[in-house]
Amino acid sequence: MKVLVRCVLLELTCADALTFRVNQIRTTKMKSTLSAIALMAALSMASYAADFTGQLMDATCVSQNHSGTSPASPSTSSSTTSSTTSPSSTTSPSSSKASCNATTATTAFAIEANGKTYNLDSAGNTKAAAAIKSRADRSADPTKAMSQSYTAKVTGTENNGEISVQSIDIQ
Amino acid sequence: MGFTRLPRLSLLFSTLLLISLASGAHAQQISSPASAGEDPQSLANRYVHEILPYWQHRLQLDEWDVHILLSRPQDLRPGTLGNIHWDRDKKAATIRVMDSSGYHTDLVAMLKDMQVTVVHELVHLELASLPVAEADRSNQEFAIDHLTDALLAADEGRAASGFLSVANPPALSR
Repeated sequence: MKVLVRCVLLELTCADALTFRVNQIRTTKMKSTLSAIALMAALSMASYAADFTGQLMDATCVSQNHSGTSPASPSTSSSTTSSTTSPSSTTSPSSSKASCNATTATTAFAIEANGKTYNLDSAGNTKAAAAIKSRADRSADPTKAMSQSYTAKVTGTENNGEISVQSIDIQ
Repeated sequence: MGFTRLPRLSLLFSTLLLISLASGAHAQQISSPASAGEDPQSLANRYVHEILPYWQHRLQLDEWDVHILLSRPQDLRPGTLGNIHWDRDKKAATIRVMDSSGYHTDLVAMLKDMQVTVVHELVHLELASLPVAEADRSNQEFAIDHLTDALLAADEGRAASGFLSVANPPALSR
């Protein structure tokens, strides 16, 4: 009915009017589909991103410590170099990593959260290195050594033991 | 040099200053925050926001966008009273000062210590362009503590010479 009215009002042929209407419907449908896809993409990204709060560690040191505590697998001890891309989500006691705190010299980082150790991806390493170098504290007692550990909140997506870091916030 | 840039005194601090000048009373004898009807937390928050631009200007850090906020002790690293995070490229920094819940001193001592934290962290910002090795951090902290003390002592000297010192009004002098 509307098409016919448009036919009359716009003095178009009915064929033109119908084509016009069909195109209109197609455009609307396409916009809706694109919006839905964008929304789903945003929601899926948001659902995968998570916060990991814990001690910031030196991934190289953690890796060496971890392989050092596995005498049954000597082959792994030879590959103790830090690899931020290799998945190495591990559960290990904190005591073995006591000396693995991240420092300003650390280049490959890991975070110990929820009893697991996650490596950061290369972008995360860059962010963590910058964050750790761009901060300072005021000690309550300058005569005492300050805590050597850094607590951090890493936001990102975890995949096979490695976190793709979106942001990092060091305490 | 920065008198034109001095931040305005809040009503409370003006009152404290006048009372102090009139009576010559010692800082600790000045009216408590309770009498001013303001809780220590909001007073501290107002105080740190007032002294920040003053010290930022005195240390010639005006080009930096510095934010300040009070933090609960558990939100700071253990054994610390505050911290600073900066972004050299953006010229932006955030100073966190331990809030009143972490202090078990009187109000004046608490505010003075918060001022020490602000100045201490700004001196860190002054040195932000210098790389610091992990081993040198404690030495740097030691040096910054001394610089902070010297700056605050110099500010007290200004106050004693009759200059108005917003950051260190006689009501809060040592």
